[in-house]
Amino acid sequence: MTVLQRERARVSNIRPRSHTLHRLRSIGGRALHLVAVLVLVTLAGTALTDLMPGSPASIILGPTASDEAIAALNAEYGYDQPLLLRYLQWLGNAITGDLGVSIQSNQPVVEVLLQRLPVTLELTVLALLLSLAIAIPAAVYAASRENSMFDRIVSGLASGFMSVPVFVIGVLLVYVLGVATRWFPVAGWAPLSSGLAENLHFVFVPVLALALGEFPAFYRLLRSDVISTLREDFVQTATVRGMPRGYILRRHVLRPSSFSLITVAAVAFGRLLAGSVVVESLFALPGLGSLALQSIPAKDIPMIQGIVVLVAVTYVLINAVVDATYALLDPRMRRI
Amino acid sequence: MSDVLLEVTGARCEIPTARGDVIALGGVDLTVRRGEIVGLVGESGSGKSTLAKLIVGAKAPGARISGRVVLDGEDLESVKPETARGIRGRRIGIVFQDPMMALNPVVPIGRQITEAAVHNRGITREQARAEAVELLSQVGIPDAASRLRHYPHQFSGGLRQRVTIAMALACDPDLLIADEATTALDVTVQRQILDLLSRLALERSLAMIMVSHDLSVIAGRTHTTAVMYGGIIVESGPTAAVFDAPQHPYTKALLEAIPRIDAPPHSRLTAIPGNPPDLSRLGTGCPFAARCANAQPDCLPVVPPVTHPVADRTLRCYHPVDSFADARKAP
Repeated sequence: MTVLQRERARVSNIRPRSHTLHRLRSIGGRALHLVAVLVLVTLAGTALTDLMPGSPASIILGPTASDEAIAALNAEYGYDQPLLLRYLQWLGNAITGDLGVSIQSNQPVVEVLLQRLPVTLELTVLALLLSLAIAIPAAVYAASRENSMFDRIVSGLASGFMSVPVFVIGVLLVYVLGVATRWFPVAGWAPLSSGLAENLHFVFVPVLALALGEFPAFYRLLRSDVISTLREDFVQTATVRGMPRGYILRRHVLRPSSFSLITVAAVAFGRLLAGSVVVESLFALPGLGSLALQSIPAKDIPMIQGIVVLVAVTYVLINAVVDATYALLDPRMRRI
Repeated sequence: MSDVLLEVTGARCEIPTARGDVIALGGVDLTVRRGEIVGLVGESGSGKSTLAKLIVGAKAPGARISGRVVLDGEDLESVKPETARGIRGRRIGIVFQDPMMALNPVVPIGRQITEAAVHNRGITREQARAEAVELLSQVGIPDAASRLRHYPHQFSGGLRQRVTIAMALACDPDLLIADEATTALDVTVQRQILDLLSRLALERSLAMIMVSHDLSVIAGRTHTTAVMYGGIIVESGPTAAVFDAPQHPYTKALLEAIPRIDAPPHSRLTAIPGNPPDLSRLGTGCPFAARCANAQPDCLPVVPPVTHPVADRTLRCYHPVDSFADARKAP
C-alpha cells in the first residue's frame, strides 16, 4: 500500500464521533445551571428576613410586644438561628415538599400555593395565548404591507395600548363589558370545577385586560423582525421562483423572525406569573398575586418565601423550555 | 417555435435615493436564443445584476422599472403580475451570488428545492422529492436522498451552490440565469461549478445568461457576450469576436487589464484610469467618456445610439477602437 492509499483507508475508517456523550454533557450542564439559580434565589429569599429591620417576630407581634414574646416567637420559627443554618433547615424541608406553615393563616404554605397557582396559571397562559393570537397575524400582515392603512392603524393602536397602564385598561373593560353592557361579571372567580363556560365567563375580562397590555410589545417586535426578514435574499429567491406571498410568509419568514418574540414572550410569562397583582386585585381573583399582596404587609415570611421559590422555579423552567425551542426553530442551534 | 427565447427591450431601472435618482439601467436591449449561452460582463455597478433581476421580476425596493420582457413570445408586462410571476418561476431559473444568503437557513433543502415544482407545476410532493433526488445527483451531490432533510449550514460553500442550482432547475426551466454564481466561492470550486453549469446547459439545451465581472469566466463558456458599463450595454457580439477584436474602448481597456502570465517580470499592470461612474450623477453623454482614451467633445451631449457595425454585433460608441474603424470603412 502506498502512503496515499493508507491515508485514504484511515480516513474512510473514521467513524462519525458519538454525540450521545456530548448531548448528555450539555443536558447535565443545563441542570447544574438550574440548581445553581434555585439555590441562589432561595438563599436570597431566606436572607430577606435579615434585611428587615428588627427580628421577624418583633415585626409580626408589633411594637407593644414584650421581649419574651418576641424571643419565644423567634425561637418557634427558628429566626434566632444564623442565616446559613436557617437556610439549610428550610432547604431540607423544602426538598421533602414542606415549605413551612403560613404565619397568617397557619395553613401549610404548599397547600395555599397549590390552591392559588391554578388561578394565576390559567390567567397567565390564556392572556399570553390571546395576546400572541392577536399579535402574530397582525404583525405578519402589517409587516408584509408596510405603511399600508392596516399597518398604520394597528401600529397606532399598539403604541396606544402600550402607553396605557394595565389598571386603566382593566377599569375601562370592566366599565364597558361589565357595567355598561352587563355581558361579563364585574369581578370574581369561578373555578374550572364549576364548569368551563362559567370559568371562562369570569376569566375573560381579566385575560383580555392582560392581553391588551402585552400584545403591543409582541406586535411591534415581530413586525420589525418580519420586515427585516422580508429583506433577506432567500425571500427574494422564493419570490422569483413564483411562490405565493402567503406561503412565503408562513413557510420562510415567520420562523426566522420569531426568535426575539419567543424570548420576550417567555419573559412576559414569568412577569405575569409573579406580577399580575394589579389585575388580580382589580378583579378580586384568588391567585398568587393577591396572595402576595396579602402576605407582604402581614410579614408572612414562609408564604413570601414559598411564592418566591415557586416563581423562581417556573422562571428557570420557562427559560429551559425557551432554550429548547430555539433549537427547534433554528437547526443551526442544534448540537448535531 | 421562434428561435428567440427571451427578448428584453428598453429596460430601464431608476432607484430614488437621497442623492437623486440612480439610473441603474439606462435603456438596455438583450436577446437570448434557445440554447444560447450569453455572458453579461461588467464591473460592479454596471447594472448587470439589476438586468438579471429585472428579467426574473425582482427589483430593489422603491425602484422604478420600465421596458418590455418577452419570454417565448409572451409579453410579461401585459399579463397580470401574479401570472407573470408564475411564468417566470416556471420557465426561468436563477442562481444568485451567495448561496448562504439565497437559501433559507431554517428550512430543509428538500423543501426548498421541491416547493416551486409543487406549486408551479402542480406535481405531488412525492414526485417532486423523487425529482429532487435525481437533480441533486445530477448537480453532483453524493448521497442525495438522505441529504434532502439537511439544512443549508450542513453543506460546504460549493455544495450549497450546487443545491441552489438544483433549486433553479426544479421547474425544468428554459432559461437559467447565473448571477455571479461563482464569485463567492473558492477558485477551485468556481471552476467545478462553472463546468457543471456549462454541462447542464448543454444536456438540457438550456439557454443561459452568465453574469460575471470576471472576463475569464465568460470567455470560452459563452456563445455571445454583452459588455455593460454605466447601466447600458456598450458592446455585444459573438464571444470570440468581442474578445479578439473589441470595438468599444471600454472592452479593449478591460481586456488589456487582465494580468498576463507571459508578461515580463515587474512589468506594470494595466488599469483603467478613474473609477466607475456615480450612477446618480450620470451626465447626458456616454458614461465611459470620462475614462475613455478615445473620448472627443461629441461624446458628451448624447449617449451613443445602438449601431450594428457588423451583422451580429452591437456597439454604442462614436469613436470605436481603430481596428474596427477600418473594418467599418471597408465597403
